[in-house]
Amino acid sequence: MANKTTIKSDRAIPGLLFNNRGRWLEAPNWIDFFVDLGCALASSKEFTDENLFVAIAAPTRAFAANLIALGAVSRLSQTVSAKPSPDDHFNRISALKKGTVLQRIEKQKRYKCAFLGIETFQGTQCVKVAVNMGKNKVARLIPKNRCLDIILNGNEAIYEDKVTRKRNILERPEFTRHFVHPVCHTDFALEKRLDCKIIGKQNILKVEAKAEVLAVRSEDQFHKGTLNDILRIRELLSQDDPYRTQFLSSRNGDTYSATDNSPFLTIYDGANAYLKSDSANNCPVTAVVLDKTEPNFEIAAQNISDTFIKRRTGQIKLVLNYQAPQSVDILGFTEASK
Amino acid sequence: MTYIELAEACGVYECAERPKINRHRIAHNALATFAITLDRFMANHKEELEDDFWNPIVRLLKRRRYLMQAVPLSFEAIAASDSETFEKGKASLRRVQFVFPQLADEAQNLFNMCHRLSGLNDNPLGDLIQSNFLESEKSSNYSAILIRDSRWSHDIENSFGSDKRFRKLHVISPECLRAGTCYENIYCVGPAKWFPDHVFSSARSLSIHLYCYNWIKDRQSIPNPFRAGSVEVTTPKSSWTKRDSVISLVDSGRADERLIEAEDVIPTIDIPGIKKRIRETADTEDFAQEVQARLFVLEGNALVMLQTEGNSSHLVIDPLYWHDDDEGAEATVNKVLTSEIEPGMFVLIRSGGGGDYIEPIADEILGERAQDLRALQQHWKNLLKQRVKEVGIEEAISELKGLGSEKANNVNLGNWMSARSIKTRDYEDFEALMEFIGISEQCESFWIAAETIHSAHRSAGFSIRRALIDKISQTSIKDLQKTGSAEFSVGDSNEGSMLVLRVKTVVQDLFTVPESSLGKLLEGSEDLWR
Repeated sequence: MANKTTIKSDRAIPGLLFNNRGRWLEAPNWIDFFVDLGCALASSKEFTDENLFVAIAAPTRAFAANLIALGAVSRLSQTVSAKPSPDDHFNRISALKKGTVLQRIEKQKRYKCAFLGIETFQGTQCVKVAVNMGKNKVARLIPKNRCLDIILNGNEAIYEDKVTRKRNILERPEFTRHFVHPVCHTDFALEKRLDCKIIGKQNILKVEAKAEVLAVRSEDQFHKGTLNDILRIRELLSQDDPYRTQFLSSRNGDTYSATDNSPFLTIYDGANAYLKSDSANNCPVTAVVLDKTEPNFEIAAQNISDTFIKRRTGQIKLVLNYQAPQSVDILGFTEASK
Repeated sequence: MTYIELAEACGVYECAERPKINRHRIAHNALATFAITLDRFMANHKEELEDDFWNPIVRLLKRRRYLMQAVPLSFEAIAASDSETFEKGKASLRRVQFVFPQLADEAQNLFNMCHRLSGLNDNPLGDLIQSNFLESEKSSNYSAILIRDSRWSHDIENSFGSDKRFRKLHVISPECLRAGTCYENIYCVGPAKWFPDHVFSSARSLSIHLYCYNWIKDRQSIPNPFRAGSVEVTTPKSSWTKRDSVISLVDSGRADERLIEAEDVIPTIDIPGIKKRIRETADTEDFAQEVQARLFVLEGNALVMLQTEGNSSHLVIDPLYWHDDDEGAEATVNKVLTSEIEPGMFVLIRSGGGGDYIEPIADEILGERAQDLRALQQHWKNLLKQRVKEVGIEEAISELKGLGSEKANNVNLGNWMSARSIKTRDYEDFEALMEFIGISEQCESFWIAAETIHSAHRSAGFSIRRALIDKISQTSIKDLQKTGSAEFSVGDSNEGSMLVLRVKTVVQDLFTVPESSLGKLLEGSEDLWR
């Protein structure tokens, strides 16, 4: 009898709104479910050392892969790949344009400040920032060894040489902050790291990612955003922009560039993407989103059932914050990492 | 796979969450007697009926039985649009007493039953749909009749549309239910087994009415798509829930005890018949180049063979293909590998006259030179075929290699002999061919002729493609989805007309067919069904 691993979502993302033909409404359960499922998959390493395979059969594939990725990237943003050294962080700040708005942590509180440049004080290099003191602005020097107290605001952290370029990431820090843990915001804004790849029809995935269809509420305001604000899709960014997600075409049977690190999560969006997939995929987590109306749905579902019989080392239970829609079927198992 | 907006997706999840699926069992004594008698006749005389003699009779009887159970029109109206099959069946029936005298009475009895039914104005399916529609009429009133055979959609729409109360009813095929559109009610004509699971498991309506005669044995539920089971999904707030994804179909009426399997009612393709016909075609052609092909079953029971070897591709319209600039309304013609053509796509098939549809347009481009150039082309191809026949393929390849052809092999030599290929890619191979067939001194003039034809074909291809795309853009993909077929003409000549037909099934068996039978409808496709 195979053992059963419980995978829990440890981070519900509350208060999502969606654009219902011009009206902003509370997101329906299915949206919350897919985001939450992504969070659960991203936290699976806390529950098992083995690889995880999850297949989802939904009444439509629309947005499902991107929403799962949203949950996963959001949850994985808590995992800082390597805590930046003060030196690295100092260098990042040094590269900023003067006047860039930053945040400074003091006594566990955040204060806005503006970057004024780098100065040497008593033989120590310091970051010079302007802070508000009542109605006045006062300059402060923050030594290099304490520069981790300065937080780059993600999208405000635009390097000087890129300011004039048209960017796909809009400045939506409030929206982003809803999904990304504040402590990790700097890394999220600056670090190039492939957390997730989605294999499927790129043109459709891109339109979904660019559509301003989600919003979050904070106090009295609500902040609109796109999936790409969080997913940071490599194909929608400039070459030097920090990415987290990559879209790959199923038509070409692409995998991912050999120079990249293997991402934590691979999502196959659609039966064809899965059926054409490279069986050598060795991501810690593989998710397959199947659309029940697709022509090859039954073949893919059969193939997945066969894979379950051949490769599973154990069964899984999902404990999520949102109930799975009745129309969604899920099969999942653990398998040995290759 | 097409783009569905987030708001539309919300509607889809809402409908798919808990659709009410109500099966209406319909009774009709005369049709029941005919349907069951035919079923028994075929079960009792399976062996005899395998004889080709029976094809027109069985085809007629099975087809009528199927249509009367699948099309919500009067039996009389159905018969009126199917007179050709009737005449063929009738002609064969006259000879039954000489060929199979022991079955003559039974066959005649069945034919009489069918004939009597065909004269009735009864429309049990249509009547019940109309009555249910009027009962459930609501303000938004966006409902659809779902039929298996979309060839009948115009007739049904016209028939229902003659009464203004039913003009809002759409007639759709299962493929239409892949998009994000949801309906108030879906009136599904026929047993659930005739339709793909997604019609019920990803319902695009909260209310589905299934209309099924009470002698048809149908499925009771739609099972979990993952045969291996499902994962337990729970929330901390709710108790452990074992998800039960099986969808039940509820019968509102009583099922008859004399049941016929739903699948048995559907006409099936006569694969041995197709193979036989292909063999006959191959035998009548000299030097017929044979290739591996796959059989595609198209809308309206049409059949076409498409080459599968190498990177063979074909022009298709993928209704689910979507690009950033469109709004999902326009169709786009793409060349797709044959191996990637799947049910739901539309294939473009040349029609009218049979010649390659590019050729007449290329000839127009070539003008007065066309005839001479084609004759030159024909000449060296004939010489090549003749020479290969004399020495054999293996020897021919070996000789060609010796003469400097790097690409001489089985497949390429076949292509070079074929009328469908104009020239070799490289001059060196062409030079070797000319030397092989003994006309090396004319090599350059033949090469120039081939290049000229090739260039004209390319221009013709572009112009057809452009013309087609223009035509297609005038037709909405929605209409194409509804009817499953359309015809487009390129230019004024019939040679340039093309059929656009939806792929219903891709037959898994591979066929070896003469190259000449590729890419065009198998003649008398209707006769290849039983």
